[in-house]
Amino acid sequence: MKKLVAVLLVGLMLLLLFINMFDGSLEFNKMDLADVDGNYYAKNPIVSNMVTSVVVDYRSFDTLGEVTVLFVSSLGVAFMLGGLTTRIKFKHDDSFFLRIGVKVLFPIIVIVGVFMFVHGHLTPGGGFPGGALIGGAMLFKYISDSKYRAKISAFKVLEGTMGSIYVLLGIVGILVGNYFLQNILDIGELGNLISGGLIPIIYVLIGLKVGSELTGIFDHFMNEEV
Amino acid sequence: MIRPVLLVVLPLLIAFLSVMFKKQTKPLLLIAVLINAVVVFVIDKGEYIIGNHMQPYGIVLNVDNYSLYALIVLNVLFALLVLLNLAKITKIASILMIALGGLNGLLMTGDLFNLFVFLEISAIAAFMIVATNKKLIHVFNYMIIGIVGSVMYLFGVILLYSQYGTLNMNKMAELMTTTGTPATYIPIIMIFGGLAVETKLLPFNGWVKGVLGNSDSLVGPMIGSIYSGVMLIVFGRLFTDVFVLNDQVRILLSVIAIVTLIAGEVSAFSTMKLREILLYSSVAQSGLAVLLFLNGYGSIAVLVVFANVLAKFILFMLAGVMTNSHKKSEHTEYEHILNNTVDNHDDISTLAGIFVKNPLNGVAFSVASLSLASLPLFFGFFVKINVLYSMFLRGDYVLPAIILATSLVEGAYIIRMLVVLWNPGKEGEKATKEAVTSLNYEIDQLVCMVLLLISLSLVALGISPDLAIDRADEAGADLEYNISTEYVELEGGKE
Amino acid sequence: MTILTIIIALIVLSFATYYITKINNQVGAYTTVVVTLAALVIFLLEGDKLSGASSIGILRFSVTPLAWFFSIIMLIVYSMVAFFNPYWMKKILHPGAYNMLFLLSLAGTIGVFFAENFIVMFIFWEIVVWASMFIIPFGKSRTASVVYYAMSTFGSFTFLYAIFMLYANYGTFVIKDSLEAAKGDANIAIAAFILMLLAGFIKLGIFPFHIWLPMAHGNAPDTFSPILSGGLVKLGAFLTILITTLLPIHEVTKDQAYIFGVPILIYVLMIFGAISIVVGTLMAIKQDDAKKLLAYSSVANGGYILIGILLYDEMALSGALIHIFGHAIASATAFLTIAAVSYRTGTTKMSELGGMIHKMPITYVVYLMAIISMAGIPPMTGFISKWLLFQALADQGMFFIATTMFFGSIGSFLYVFRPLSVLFLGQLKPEHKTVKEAPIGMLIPMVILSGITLFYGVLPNSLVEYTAKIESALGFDKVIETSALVIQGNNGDLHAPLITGIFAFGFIIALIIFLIAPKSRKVGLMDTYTAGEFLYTPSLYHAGYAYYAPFERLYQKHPNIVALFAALVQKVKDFGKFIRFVFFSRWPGRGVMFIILTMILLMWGEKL
Repeated sequence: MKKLVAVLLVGLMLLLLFINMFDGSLEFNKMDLADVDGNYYAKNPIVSNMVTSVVVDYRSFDTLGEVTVLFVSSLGVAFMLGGLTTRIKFKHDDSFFLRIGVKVLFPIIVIVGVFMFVHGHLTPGGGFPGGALIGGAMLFKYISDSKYRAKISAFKVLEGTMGSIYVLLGIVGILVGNYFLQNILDIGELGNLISGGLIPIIYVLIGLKVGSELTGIFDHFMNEEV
Repeated sequence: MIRPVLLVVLPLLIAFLSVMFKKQTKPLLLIAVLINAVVVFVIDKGEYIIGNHMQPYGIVLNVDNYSLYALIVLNVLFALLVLLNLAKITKIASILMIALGGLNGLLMTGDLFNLFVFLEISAIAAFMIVATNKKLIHVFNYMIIGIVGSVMYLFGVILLYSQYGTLNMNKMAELMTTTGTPATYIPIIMIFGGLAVETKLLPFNGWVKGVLGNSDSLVGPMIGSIYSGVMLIVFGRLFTDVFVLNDQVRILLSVIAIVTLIAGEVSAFSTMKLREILLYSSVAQSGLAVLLFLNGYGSIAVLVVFANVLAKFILFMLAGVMTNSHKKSEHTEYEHILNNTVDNHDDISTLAGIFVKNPLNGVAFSVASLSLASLPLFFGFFVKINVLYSMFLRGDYVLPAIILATSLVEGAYIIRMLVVLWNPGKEGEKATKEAVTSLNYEIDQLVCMVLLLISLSLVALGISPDLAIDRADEAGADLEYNISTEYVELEGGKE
Repeated sequence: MTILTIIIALIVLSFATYYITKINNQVGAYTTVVVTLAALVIFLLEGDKLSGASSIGILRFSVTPLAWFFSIIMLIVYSMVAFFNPYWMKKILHPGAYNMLFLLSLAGTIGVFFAENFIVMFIFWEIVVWASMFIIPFGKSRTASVVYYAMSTFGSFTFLYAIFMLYANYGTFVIKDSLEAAKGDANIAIAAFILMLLAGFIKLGIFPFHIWLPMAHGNAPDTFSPILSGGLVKLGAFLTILITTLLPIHEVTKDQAYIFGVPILIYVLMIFGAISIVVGTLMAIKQDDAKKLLAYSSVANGGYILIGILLYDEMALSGALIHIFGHAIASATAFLTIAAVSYRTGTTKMSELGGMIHKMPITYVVYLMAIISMAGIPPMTGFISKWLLFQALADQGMFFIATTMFFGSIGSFLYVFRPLSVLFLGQLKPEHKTVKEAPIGMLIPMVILSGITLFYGVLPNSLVEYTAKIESALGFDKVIETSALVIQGNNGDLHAPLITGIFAFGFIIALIIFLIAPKSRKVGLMDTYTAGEFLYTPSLYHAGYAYYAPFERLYQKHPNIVALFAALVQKVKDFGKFIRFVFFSRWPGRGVMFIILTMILLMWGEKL
């Protein structure tokens, strides 16, 4: 009964929302396309991946914020689950094939992840998916081997360092250029690997940071109280 | 020339570094808050571009009188709060630094999506800070409702972008005024819903009782005073400076604010638990501030927020100490939920006469409460007089009656609380030393002194409110929809 | 000497007294005595030379005869009561706060009287409220303080609403200008009048807002009740006088129908005063606690004062002013005697006391003189004011209200006599055999106050001349006329010294007869009292038990207005509980449901 009422209410709200959105009153086409901000971004990309140029250059401050959100979430997980030290026991035994197979797959996944964030400014992907792949690879290792524990302290150091470097790059922007997070390196040719100034560097930072954070989170969840 | 960006970024940097230097998180936190509290006084006003892209294509930070005064109050109070709770902050020092950065960013930002990002940062940090008191069901409640609110806010921003093609606040304000009123205000209502969760307006505030009702001296002032003030200032910025509302929407939203005001005061009147009284009073004050912002009384709303922030800081900190420093409980939280019991000494009658043993705390508490009840010789009095003065000057006769009626209820429960806390004894019997409660708590001398100083500032502002009123006037001048600009001050002036 | 300096000095001294009391209770209490006496002396000496010249921003003061009159009354009450403070220091939980708030409330009252504009008046009005509100719970009841605050603030808020309404229409806060300008628009004037009058009503304790008086005055610490009853309720009278005479209300309501020579609005308000007289008197007759009894008597006297003020006749206003003076002194004296008895015996309940005349004869005489004044019998001040009020009422032909006033007068004799006969006369209880007379520090102020009452009863002319001066300052055309010893009324003259002389003559005759006649023989009471029977319930045989039972039976089943207010408060509490139950639960599902419901309603509402 309660579920029915809940579904009905949410349905009603979404219905109202959609009716309002699509009956023309929101006037989606009122703006001249040339005045929309996105138009400027499309016309002046810094690197060949338009999304990257918006995320890491025009709105780099937001990305710093997103990175911080992930950071504080991992801090939260560490705060709540931090005291636990023994691995969870799986219900099944370790499979030999899985363990060895993951050992083979692991570097490949990591390389794909690294490729994603290194080439973030040329191909779709970027720091966040790349980092997630690395985290996923670590998760494989955890699942395959019930005795495996990554060197969390190393990952924490990596996480902290990457974040600090990101912020420091921004502050360098103030000192060298004039604005925080200004793109101080040479933009270069569109389409080259070394192009876009700070953008690939930042994506590398983000990729490594996200990877280490996710690893840390997985590690915490794989522990239990004695 | 110190950039305001550093106010946001420096704490973040130190937070990132602290992950590596686990042992030194507490000194790092202290350095961060102290630097912030000092730097905030030397930044210059203006619009600061981030990343070398002109607005509206890049993000801009907007530091005008309105943000500057809010920033000063935020950073100084945050530093005080950290300094007064040195024992409790070791575990969450990094999270506190991120909260500081997030709150500063919220106040300064000039971009709607950036506001969302900082809202998320602050909210998640708040969840974690609340989790320090181990009542996890309430954190969960807060989280769910907070996420629903954030999603609504984001959706509203998306719809606005599709309508106006920009996320920059200045450009959006310009477009809204020049292209006339839109046919629907759904996006603005969604944004209102999102912010209403954080500013505790009525149907959106199911989380407040659990979070603040179980607060200690760190969580209470943080959520009840600092976060509350910041969120209201952000609300004021958005709804008076950026968005242009028409009368119908204004009335709709004001109704919610009035309902919050009435419901908050009435709920506070009906309970006898100390922290609950304070939190419902906060809800009501939020309702009042939102009402004032929506109807063009921007400077007065800033005054209300300021008075509330100062008073609640003292009250929540003392309430947290008074109700929490007793013997540790023998029951787990789960048992309490099953049996519907509470563990800490929240009821006023069990704390009767506790100020006889702690008169200095009693004085600080009384000054803050009397300022809240807007009695003269305290700052809250001039705030209320100015609220009524502005409303009458505009010819509004109904709102003052509502505000006075709710003030009466507020005064009654505050006085009831104060009178019992100072004077023990059953009805019909004289108040004697024997009837004083046997409970007592320990409080640091430093905390005691700082709280007394803050309460003295409330008295000083009560005797000479011109300093605050002039600043609020300057702050309000930055808001677009701020119609009333005359005040009752001590020194004749604009009277 | 400007008013501002006096007020600032008082406020600073009040904080200083707090610290002095922390060091030594007694020294702190004596400081209050010294400060209040000094203030009284300054006011008496300076008289008209007091100036309101200095000001800070909007804190401006103006000196008027009315203000000076009220301040003197207040200062006399405060300074005499202050003499009792040193003896109460060990009985009070927070002696430092008591002394501080004592002086702070005095500063507040002076600020109210001399205020030049409404904002200043309101500021000091509220200061008085919160200063006195914190002293009340030192006594016997905590809820009394909350009730006092709630009712008083209700009045203050209607007052504030009216102030701002007048400002919005006429652009000024200054009392005289604002009220005069209101003459132009009858509706605004009447609305502002009623709103402000509510504040005066509640402070004076007029029906139906009288319920806080017995709670607060009856339960306050014994030394503070005289100030509450003799002093602070007069603030309401002050406000009522201001708005009645400065508007003036009779001009504004000129176009209404007239009953008995006054506009109907005024008559209805006077009916409230008359009802308070009846209610106060009847409730006072029932009481067992001496302080609650005197509190109800304040309710009844508030009714007299209100009727006198509203009549807007020069005799009536003069009568009201003298009644304020007389009642303040007499009520303060009565409360002080009860406080002295309570100091020596530890109780104020009449059923636990008796025969105090044997041990505290001077206190007895003081009390006797106070109640003679309260009953309105010559040669005390109370008679003068009652005479003037009756004259004015009879002249207007308002016989209903005059009847209630007569009833109140006689009834007052009933209830003031009860403590006299029960407490002072009657049998001395065994446990009080060792009670001594009140200490000298208490006797001095009580004797001084009785002396004042007697003096102005015998020679009222200086008092009446001053009320004439007040009336002309307030804009009356005709003022009350007095020649050397005679007060001229409409239907005859009052020759007070002559009356006193006749009274004294009769007293001397009775004294001579008493001295010549054979003395009675003193017999120990307890041996013969029970005639050998064993008393199982001695309390039933106490002289004060069911003292006026036949009369009380007449109105035993009276409706109780306290229940009305209590029900109102309970409704608010229930509403609050309901909201808490519905909206604030610990389960997130409910919170999210409300969010979705509200968004639906908002979107729908916006669509429409």
